[in-house]
Amino acid sequence: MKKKLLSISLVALTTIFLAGCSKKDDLSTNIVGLGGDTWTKGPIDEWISTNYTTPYNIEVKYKWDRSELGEIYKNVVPIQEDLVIPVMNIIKKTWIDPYVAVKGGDFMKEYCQKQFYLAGSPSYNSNGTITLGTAESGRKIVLLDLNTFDQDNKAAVRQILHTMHHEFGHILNQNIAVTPDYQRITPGDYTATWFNIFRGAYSTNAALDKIMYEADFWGKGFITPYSRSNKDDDFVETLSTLLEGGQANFDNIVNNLFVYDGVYIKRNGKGIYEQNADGRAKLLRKKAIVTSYMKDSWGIDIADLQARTQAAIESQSPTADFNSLLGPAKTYSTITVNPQKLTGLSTKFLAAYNTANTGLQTGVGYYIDNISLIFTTANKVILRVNFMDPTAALGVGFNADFNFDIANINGNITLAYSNPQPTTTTYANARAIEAAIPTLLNYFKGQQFTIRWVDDIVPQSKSIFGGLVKTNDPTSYLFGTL
Amino acid sequence: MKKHLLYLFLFTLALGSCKKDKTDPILGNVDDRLSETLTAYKTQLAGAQFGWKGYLLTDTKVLATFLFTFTDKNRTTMSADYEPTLNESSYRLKALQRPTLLFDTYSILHLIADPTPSKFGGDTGGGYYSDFEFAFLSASADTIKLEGTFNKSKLVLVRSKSAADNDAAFTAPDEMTATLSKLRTYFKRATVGGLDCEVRLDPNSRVLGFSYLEAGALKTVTSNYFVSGSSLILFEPLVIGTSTITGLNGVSFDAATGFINASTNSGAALQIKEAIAPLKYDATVAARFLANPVYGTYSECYTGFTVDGVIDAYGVRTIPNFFSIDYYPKITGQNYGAVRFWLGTAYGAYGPAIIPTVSVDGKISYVQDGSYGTAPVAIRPIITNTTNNFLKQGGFYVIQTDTKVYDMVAVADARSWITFE
Repeated sequence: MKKKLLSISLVALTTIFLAGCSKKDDLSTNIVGLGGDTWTKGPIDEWISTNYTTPYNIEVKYKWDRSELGEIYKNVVPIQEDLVIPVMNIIKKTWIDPYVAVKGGDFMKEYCQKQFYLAGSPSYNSNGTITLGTAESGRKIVLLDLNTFDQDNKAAVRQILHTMHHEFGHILNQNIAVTPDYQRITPGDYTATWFNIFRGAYSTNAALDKIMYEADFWGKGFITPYSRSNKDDDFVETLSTLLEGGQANFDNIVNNLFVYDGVYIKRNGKGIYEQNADGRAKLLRKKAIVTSYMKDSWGIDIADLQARTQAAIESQSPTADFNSLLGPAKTYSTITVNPQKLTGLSTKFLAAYNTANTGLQTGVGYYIDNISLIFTTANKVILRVNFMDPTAALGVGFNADFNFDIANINGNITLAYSNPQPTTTTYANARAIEAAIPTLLNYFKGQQFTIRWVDDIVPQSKSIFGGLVKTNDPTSYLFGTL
Repeated sequence: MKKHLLYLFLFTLALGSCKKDKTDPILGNVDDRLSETLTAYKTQLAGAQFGWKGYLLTDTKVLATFLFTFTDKNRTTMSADYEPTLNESSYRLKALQRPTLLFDTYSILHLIADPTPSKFGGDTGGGYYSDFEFAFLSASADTIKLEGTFNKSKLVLVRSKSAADNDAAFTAPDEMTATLSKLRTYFKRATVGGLDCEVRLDPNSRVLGFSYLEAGALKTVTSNYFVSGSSLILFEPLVIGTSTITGLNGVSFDAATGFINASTNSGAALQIKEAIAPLKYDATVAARFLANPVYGTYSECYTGFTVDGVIDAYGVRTIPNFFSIDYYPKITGQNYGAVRFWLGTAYGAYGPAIIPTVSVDGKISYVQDGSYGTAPVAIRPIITNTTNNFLKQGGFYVIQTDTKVYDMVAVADARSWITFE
């Protein structure tokens, strides 16, 4: 009986306990703000939905929300509505689309960042710098200073793309890590104070400052100052610079690494430069690892991706033809040709140049350092031969100027040697050496050239190299830096 | 027995656990109320037929007037006294710490807050320290008071009565300035709640202030104001003794008496009259001003003498390349001081040398001790008038209005004064 009572009591207790626990709270009310902000959707929202949210599950926030900023205590203002679509369109065309073309849409859906936040002004820092964008762990990208966005300003467009490719590089690297061999290339040069690498930090002499600044990252085998911060950023900076800057940009950086003595490149008695072989090898090794990483880990041919990215940038923010940009009071006025700093010059030009250089050395005892074509006067081009005396100090150089009359017809010019030539010092210098360099002068005299970009000869080189191609012989050409 | 006690305890616990708290929040669900409030604000904003007049006071005391219209589709169209071209952008209401009105894409309102000085001026990284996120402080049917959540600027929205009301919004401050400038003297008096007050009117910075004696000490209260029609409404209420003034209505100038007539928010009549002496004068300022020029050896004035309420009455700003009048209380190595006219790169070869004397009651008077040359004919009246004003009989009161800002006011009639800073 007692046992029965006990069981009954236990059953009763359990029931009461269970019943007692069932409280029903009213959970039906809508919590304000839960589920995000709402507003009446407009055309911009539809565009974002069609181009980002629906295909790639990416949220693009362009309406002000201070909490999305990394530094909420700064005075920042929102983006202008009319810039939202241009900015996001260019990002889609030059970041998402090339990857989709190479790897397919599913790849981007799986790996891309999931949120963009757009703001209009930069974030001003107390040390006088400004922040143009931040990224948080491959999830969210904050792009600032977009109210100055101008699709025609290629440098600004590239800046945004660099950020995109940089952050996406982190995602790739976090999913499949790059070989540790990468960080062993420049193990001792990573520094937390990388931000002290900026123009003006090294010398009051602008030329020396530029050389020392570049030597502090390029010279040490890093593609940007930021890449010196740590191995991961180094890796993604190399990747993003290759994609955003293009192949010609990267090669031009490598080809300009030399050993300096003050503001002059060290050289031997024949004017042959001493190359910074260490810096060149490190950059090329890093590029090789990035290339094999993309191929082996992701099955992406970086050359293909690079070409598509560059083509997309060019189509979104086209470069005017070179002929229209060259001349007095235009964007460019001088083409500088230094065969020691360039690769890809035509053999016909090099033959003329090298023969002239040898002739000058044996005949007069000088060597040619570089030549330039100067378009600062209408209907005229000056061929300037910069030559040096190997027995004199490095800083002592001479210019020999040769004037040619030209008439520019749709970018085609014929160089008619001016007669008479002026008689000032640089022209007197020209009289002193002209007998020793006939092949070089004859390469130009009376010849017809086409002024144009040479991106068919050196791919992705627009705005880096401008050239003159013989109108009747496309295998004979020269180009140089601008 | 022990077992029974245990069961007894368990039963009590079980029964006790059945007790359900049935209290409902008296005011209803918090989230529901918040939603309702936000909806109500939105309806109110979108419901104004002629839109809203907006009066902004930034944290750095820069004033701006706006005209807003809001739609129920999160769109707003606005113009401002500094950018009268209409511009459309978006807004939304959001529950942050308080119900908040967000102007959430770039608009005219953001110009004044833009941290990039090339956009609209102000400080690098701060602009004019204005806001575009505003929390509701209070709302009546026709007036909504808001405060910036970031820079604490103030925005007051007043429901516009008509299209004409909108048209007048940007010109009303100038008309008010013209009315207020009709008082000719530097010193002005009014009686508020039985207290004799000195009134400070600065129409250019739109500041109204009252000074009164409290137990023998001068007490000063000031606030920025905005102008709506013939009303002058203060951003901060001013407390004078036992009275509180939030604004002046029906401000007008009575040419017959020479008074400015208005009524306070409580309906009491207020008359502002001319006065030729300060309520209480700090006699130590004059000596301090002479001994400590703002720039070491001199102080600068940018607008010349104000006479009968007319700024730069003699036209010093019309002198070619004029930048400032520099007053040297004493030229180093000489026994005289000087009034020089700085023309950007050099001093004009004219202007008087003057010697100051400070009286025991703290007034400065001047005698001339030669000059730096004869002014060119074209500007000679300007220089002569300015010189003569410095030499006025009776001299000047020196009133310190800020750390390094001094007003010199003619003692004789208080109808001319000059500011050095």
